[in-house]
Order: sequence, then structure tokens, then C-alpha cells
Amino acid sequence: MPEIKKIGTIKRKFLSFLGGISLLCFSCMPEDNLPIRAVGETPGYFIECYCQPNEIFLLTASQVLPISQELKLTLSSDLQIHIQAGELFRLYPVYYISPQSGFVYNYAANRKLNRTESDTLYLSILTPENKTITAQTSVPDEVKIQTYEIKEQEVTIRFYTSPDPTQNYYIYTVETYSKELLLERSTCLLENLPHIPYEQTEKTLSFTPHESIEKIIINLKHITKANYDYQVSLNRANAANQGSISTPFPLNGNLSGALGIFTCYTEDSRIVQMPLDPFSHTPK
Amino acid sequence: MLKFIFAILFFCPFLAEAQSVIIGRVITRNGEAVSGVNIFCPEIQQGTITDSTGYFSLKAELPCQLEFSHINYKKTTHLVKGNTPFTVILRNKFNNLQEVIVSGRTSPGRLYSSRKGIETVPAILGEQDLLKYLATVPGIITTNALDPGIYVRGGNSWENSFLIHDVEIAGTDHLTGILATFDPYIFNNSTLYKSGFPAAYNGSLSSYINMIPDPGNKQKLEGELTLGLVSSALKAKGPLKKNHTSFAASLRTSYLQAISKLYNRSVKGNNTGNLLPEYAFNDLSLSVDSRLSSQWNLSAFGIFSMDNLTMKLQENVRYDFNWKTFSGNLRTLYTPNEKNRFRLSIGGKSSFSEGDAKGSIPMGGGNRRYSLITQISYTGQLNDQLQFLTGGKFEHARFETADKPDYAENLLIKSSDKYFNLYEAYAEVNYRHGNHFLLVAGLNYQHYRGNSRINSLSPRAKISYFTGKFTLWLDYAQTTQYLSLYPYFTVKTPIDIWYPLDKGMKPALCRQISIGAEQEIPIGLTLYAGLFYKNMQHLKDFSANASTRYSGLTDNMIEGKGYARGFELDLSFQQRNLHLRFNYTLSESKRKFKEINNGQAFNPPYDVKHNIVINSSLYFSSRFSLNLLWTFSSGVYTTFPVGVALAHNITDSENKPILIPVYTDRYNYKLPDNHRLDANLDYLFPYKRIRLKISAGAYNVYNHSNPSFVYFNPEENENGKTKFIPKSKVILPFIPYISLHLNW
Repeated sequence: MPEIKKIGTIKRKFLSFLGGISLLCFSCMPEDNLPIRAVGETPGYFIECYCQPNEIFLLTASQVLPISQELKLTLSSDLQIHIQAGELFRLYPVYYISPQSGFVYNYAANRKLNRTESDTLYLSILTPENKTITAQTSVPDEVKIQTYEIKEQEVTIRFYTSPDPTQNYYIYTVETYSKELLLERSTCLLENLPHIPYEQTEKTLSFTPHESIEKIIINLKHITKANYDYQVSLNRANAANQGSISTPFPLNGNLSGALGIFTCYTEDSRIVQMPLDPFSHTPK
Repeated sequence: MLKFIFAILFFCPFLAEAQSVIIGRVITRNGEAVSGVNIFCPEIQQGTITDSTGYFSLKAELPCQLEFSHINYKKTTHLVKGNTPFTVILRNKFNNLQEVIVSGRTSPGRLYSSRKGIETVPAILGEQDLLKYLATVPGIITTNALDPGIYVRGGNSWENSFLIHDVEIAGTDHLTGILATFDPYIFNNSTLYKSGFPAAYNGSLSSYINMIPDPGNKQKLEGELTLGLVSSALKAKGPLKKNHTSFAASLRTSYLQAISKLYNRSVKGNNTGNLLPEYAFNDLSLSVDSRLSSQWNLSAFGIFSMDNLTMKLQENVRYDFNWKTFSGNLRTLYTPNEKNRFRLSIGGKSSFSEGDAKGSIPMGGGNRRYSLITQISYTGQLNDQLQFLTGGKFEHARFETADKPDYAENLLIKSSDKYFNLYEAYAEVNYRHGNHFLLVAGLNYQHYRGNSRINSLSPRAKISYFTGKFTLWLDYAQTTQYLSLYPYFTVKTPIDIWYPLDKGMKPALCRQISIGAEQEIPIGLTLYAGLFYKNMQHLKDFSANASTRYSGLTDNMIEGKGYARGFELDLSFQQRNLHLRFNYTLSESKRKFKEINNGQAFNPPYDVKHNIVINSSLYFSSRFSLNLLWTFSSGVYTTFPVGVALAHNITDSENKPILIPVYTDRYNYKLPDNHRLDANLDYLFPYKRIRLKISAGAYNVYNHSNPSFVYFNPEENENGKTKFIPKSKVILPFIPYISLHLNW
């Protein structure tokens, strides 16, 4: 995570530095529109599916939009989608917008994932063009935040890493709220623990202190390596969009026959009411 | 017997003629050939000029008094009594202010540059630099203002070696291509080799730039103060011991950071996103030269650069980047007589970069690279036609990287430590056949011992034919490179990671063949035309998902091949008050990697098909001069996304859907062509021993929009529909500048 954050940030500041030099020279930084030319064929489908134990299956399937055309989300509704998770789940076309993120899902199953039935999930999609899209993912172990500590502007959590050293990938998030409104969200991909089985680990994230903070939500997600690689590539591809001096980065998904990700994660959260007791660092 | 046959072959043509052909060679006291020396015989009012190997021939009746003059050297005379070829040693001028001749000229695969030549190129913000001058000669290009690198004959910018006294130094790049790297006050005598490399040079695929630093003034103290818009420099030359030991030094510091601080203070309390980064750089160059005796010479050189870039993102989030380089060498030269020369050099180079973040996102990292180098060489003039050069080199190089993933850590933790030892031996023979042919044959052997063990033989050969003022040459050179550079960006920056050859990998190889011809016309015109072809094997690149961690680099380093070919044309005209240069380069460079673009060949982002340079200097009087530079270069290739996808970015701070560009092929979009005109006026105010030079100029006079980078912006049209519009940002539009130079 530090790495991907760094690249986007360095680049923006690097460019603003150069802009600064221009400003110093009593000049401005003009820009021109470039002609759009044929740059290659557009890959077909873009699929995202983040499964979670005890949650229903939600999936988004859309077409990759050619860069030269007007932006219009083309949700695909004529796909045949199945997920094998101990038993076979059929996903049906829906139109659901997440109230938290505003993200659109256009396929869902009417039952929840029961993790005791299978450790591995298999995705199979048949397109109207008779092409098959497949993927598989493991279901990560449960994760538990053992303890947390909030000091000044830092939140430190302690948790045990997975006994499987190849599955030690996490997303650690701290959100601050005021009157149920999200003030700030800090996120960190934890990737430096791949070979430490079942060891207590400590991680710290910072937030911007503010008197109006009423609630802090601490969240730890245990993710798969494929998901980790995908998140890194997502951030780097996004960073590359800000200028051609950033090395372009392809999306590292795990789907065969399409772009995107099919993965599963487990999570644990703590909701901390503020303000804290200044002596015990726990909620009053 | 062989010598006898050579002698007969050599002298036969002379017997039939009433006049004698005088054959000679001009070298420096360091033994290096001097090209472009004017040789004039007042008695017959005829003259000639030395070729790239320092040789010349002139028909004249004997005895004959010859005058030798050159921009960088003291004028000298030599009385020729017989037909025996001879060698003339030129000494550096003590006072550079008296230079009157403008620039070096194109020579067989080599290019000589002097301070005066560098000063004919208008330099943005007054930052005059050897590299900016080299970028105006045929076969060499720069890509855009963000990139400080030069690209030689279709090669990458990290395939060039910079040497001081033949010993490689660390790259001393400052940020971007705007700021000067090698100050012509110190680096006023340089040679660039882009083909037909001497056997002593190996380790880089594209070019070698050997700089002979100014030895200083052994007679009197002189100095210079330069005041520019972004930096100032104090420079001095003088005797440490009169007629024995001298020094030349240049100390430069920037004040960009002070301007940024003032600006940041004025916007304090506002959005920190508007703060300017604070960038500071300093460099120091020092050269010492000691004439211990008529046979022994000792010289030392050091260059140190230090840069710091601080960027404040939020009140409690700050990024600091530091990078430093140091290179130094000590050279002993023993010349027992004019026919034998021994040299021992000991050098070192070190570069260090470190990035650190203080705030919500714990991160940090650093790279360190250092080398110790020892070189020994011998040059012998076996007879009048045959010269022999041999030598050896040992280099120990170490590469360290550090990651700091843990917030609590304050010290950088070494995460990787790689090294290699390089043993090198070489030999070269220069054989002059008659007065029309020069044959050069050389062989360079290297034994690389790191994670891989490699033995490589790099042959070199060159044949030159010269008659009168016409020279024709053909050369072949194979070079080997063991290092790769992982770039943080698509342009070279000082924080990029050098990476030595890993286990099982082969070094990159380049085989280059080139042919060239040069014709001098007495009215002051010189015409050069050349063709080159390079075949490259085992080139290194990194797959698109490489990370900046060493382990990631190892896993993602890929090997491929490529070629470059091109045609170069150079026309230079020099009269008393006018110097005019025109050159054109037609080039094609291709690379092919199995892992990139489905194995299809592609044009790398430094492939410039057409490159045109027109440079003129007009001297209105001894005080007033005008320099103009117009350049045109075809657009380079960049990578455009083919589409966009709406993705759920679960790690994003806003947890909102984002439009992600979808990339397939690399380098799939050709940017528009670049062209611009730069101009500067110099005016000199002499007062007693002091001279004040005011340089006023402008970069990109007619404000052409040359794209520095591209990005995409979603824009809503009149129908309320959103579309991604590719845009090019122009970092350097019309920029006026002024700088002051005070000499004493």
C-alpha cells in the first residue's frame, strides 16, 4: 500500500514542482486536447465479485468502455452466471446500488455464502457470444482484532496472522464519523506478512484529529493474494491515468476470459464511541 | 623486415613528388589525440586540420615551420626538417576567456566539445550544460523537458557512460532536464563516442562521454560568479604552486527552495494541496593538476552533488526525498619519452537516494550504489606507423536497497545487498598505412563475477581513409552492459534503481556498425554524413507489474532484443563572425520482448524518427552576440489506455466507484511533433580586469505547445454526456530568463 500511494503522490507533486518552476518564470502551464486515434481493441467484459461468508453473492458485470466513446455504463444482463460453493448458486440480474459506496451491482443470488460448505469458490459465466469466463478463489480464515488502542491521532490494532503463511494479506481501515457522516477514511494494504504464520502483529494508522469526531470504525479484512494483487494494480492503473510519466499498469485480475476479480474476504470491525477517556484510551 | 616493408610502402608515394608529405600527430600531454587542430605553413600559405585520431598530412617543401592552433590549447610551432613522422604535444590554454574559436566538429564516430561550443546553445534559465550541447549534435536526442537523459542513436538514456579522465563516474542528475549537470567552466574539453569505441571502453551499450576537467591556471588566479534565476555559482581557477600545481573549482547552490518557502508561507492556512514542493540542490566540482616533473603528472578530480525535495501533502503528511552522488579519481601519468606513456588511475563513485514519509502512511526506502575502480594503461609508439595501447581495470560495485514498511522504524533496514567484481583487460593497435589509411583493431575482455559469472569478448575495428580534407570511415564495435535501471516513471529520475545482472541472466549486448564521411570545404564549411545499424540482444526491461522492491524486480525482469538504425547529416559553417550548424537525424529504434505487446516489436518511447537542429551564433562585435537554436523532433510513442472500467476501489479513501483506465499494449499512441526556438543575447561589459556578461534569453520563443506528458480528463459535452478527453500538458511554454556572469 505505501508503494502504490507513494507513486500517485510523488507523481502529482513531481508535476506540480515542474509547474512551480514555470510559475517562477512568470509563465503558466497550458494544455491542449489530443486527437483520439485507434489505440487497440477494447477487452470485452469487466467483472467484480467480492464474496463474504454469511452475505449474499453480489456481482457487477459490465463492458469495458472504449476510451474514444461517450461514458455510459453498459451493464450486462444476458449473462448466465453460476458460483459453485459446496452447492451451485445461480446469480440473477438485479439492479442494486450500495447506499454506502454508491456502487452498482447487477447480479445477485438469493442465498448467503456458508463458509462451512466449501473452502474454494468457483465462478462460471457464459456470455451471449458463447464464451466462457471462469475464476476461482479460496475463502480466507476468519480474522479477529485482538486489541485496539487509540492514542492522539493514531489507531493501533493487534491481531494474529493466519496459520497459512501464503494467505497473509489484509486491508486495515480506520473511519472517523461525525453525526453519522464520514469525515475521513484511512486505508492500508498489509502485505509485508506473507511468511509469518500465526503470530501476533501490530499495525497503526493515523487519522486527522477533530473535536467533532463522535465515532471511529476500525475494520480489518483478511483478503486473498489475488485480491491483494488486484488492489495494487487498481491503484497503480489509476495513478497512471494522471500523466504519461507514470508507468502504465495492467489490471492483475484472476478471471480467465475477462478483466476483473472474483474473490472472497473475511472481516472484523470495532466501533469506538468518542471522545476517549484521556487516561485509559478507551471510550468514556 | 615488416618495418622495412612498411617504410617502403610509406615512402614510395613521396619519391615521385617534388614536395614532401609531412605526416604528424597532435596529442595532449595526457596522450589523447586532438582533433580539429589547425596546422598552417606560413611560407606556402597552406594548411590542414587534424583528424579524429590527431593525425594530419600536408605537402610542403622542407624544411618547413608549422603553426598549430586550437580552441583549447596554446598555439605552438614546430620546425619540420625531414620526412620522419613526428608528434606534437599541445598544452591547455591557461585563460579560457581568450578562446575565439567556436566548437569542435563531428569526427569519425566522435564529437569534441568545448566551453565556447556549449555557450553557443541557448540554455533555459541560463543553466548551461554539456549535456544540453550534446543534445544538439546528430544522433543524439532528448525526449521532453521532464527527462534529464540523452538518448544516443536509438539507445536508452541509461546506456551511456560518463567518464572523467577515462574513469566512470556516478550520474549526477538533478531533477528534470532543465537544470545543468556538467558545468562547462570545469568540463570544457569532452569527447563523445557514439560508435567505433576505443577498446578501453566497455560496460555501456550506447555511448561514452569522456570529460577532461580543466586543470586550472598555473599562472594566476581567476574567477567567475554566475547569478541565474534558479541557482548561482562561484568558480575559480588558480595556482596552488605557481607553474607546478593548479586547481579549478565550481560551487553551485540553488535558491528554488527559498522561493517555494516564501510562496508556501503566503498560502499558509489554506489548502495544503496548493503548496509548492521545496527543491534544493548543490554541487561542487574540484580539479587539481600537478606537474611533478617533465615526466610525471598527477591529477585529482572530485564531483559531489546533493539534492533534497520536500513535499507537504497535508498538515501532518510530509514526503522527503534526498539523493547524493560523489565521484572522485586520482590519476598518475608517467611519460618517460614521447613514445611511451603509463597511466594509473584509482577512482570511486557513489550514489545514494532515500525517500521517507512522515504522517498517516508509513513508508520509506533507499538505494545506495558504490564502486571502487582501479585502472592501469600503457600506450607505446612502436614505430612511426604503429601505436599499441593496452591496459586493465578492476571494479568492485555494491548495490543496496532498503525498505521501511513499519511505521515504528526510524532507521532504514537493508533489504537487499548485491555486488559484483569486474575484471577487464584490453588491447588496441593503431596502424597507419601510407598517408591515406588508418587501421584500428582492439579487443576488450571482461570477467563479471556477481550472481552470475560471465566472460565476454568485445571486438572493435575501424578503418579510416583520408585524403586532403575528405575522410571516410567504417567501424564496428561490440559492447556489453551488466546493469539495468528500474525507472519509477516513464522518464529517467535520480531516484531510479540500478540493478546488476541476476543469476542465470546474460548481459545485454550491442553490435554496432557505422559508416561516415566528412568533407571540409575551404570557405569554412564542413559536411558530415553517416549511417549506423545496431543489433541488440538480451536487453533488459521490467514487466508491467514490477514493483520497486528488489524481490519484485528479480521476478519481473524480462529479456528481449532490438535494433536501431539511422542516417545522420551535419553541416557546419564557420566564418569570423558567424557560426552556423544544421543537422538532421533519421532514426528507427525497435524493441521486442515476449512479455510486452504479445511479443510484437514496438517503438520505445525514445524513438524519434526525424530530428532537426539549426544552431547559429552571430557576433555583432566583440561585446555583443546572438545565439539561436531551432529544434524539431517527431513525436514519441506513449501508452494510452484502450478503455475504461468502472471499478469498486475498496482501498480508496472515499470508498467510491472509480473509472480505471484499461491498458493493453504499451507505446500505442504517437504524440504530436515537437519544435521550438530558443534565443539568447550576450552582452559583455569589460572594465579593467573584470568582465560582466549579461545573458538575456527566452525558451520556446514562439510558445509552441510541446507536450511534456498526457493525461485524461472526463468532460461533459453540450448533450450532457461525459467523455474522456486526452490532454497534453505543456510544462515549458515561453519562458524568458536572464543571468549574469562576472569574470575576473
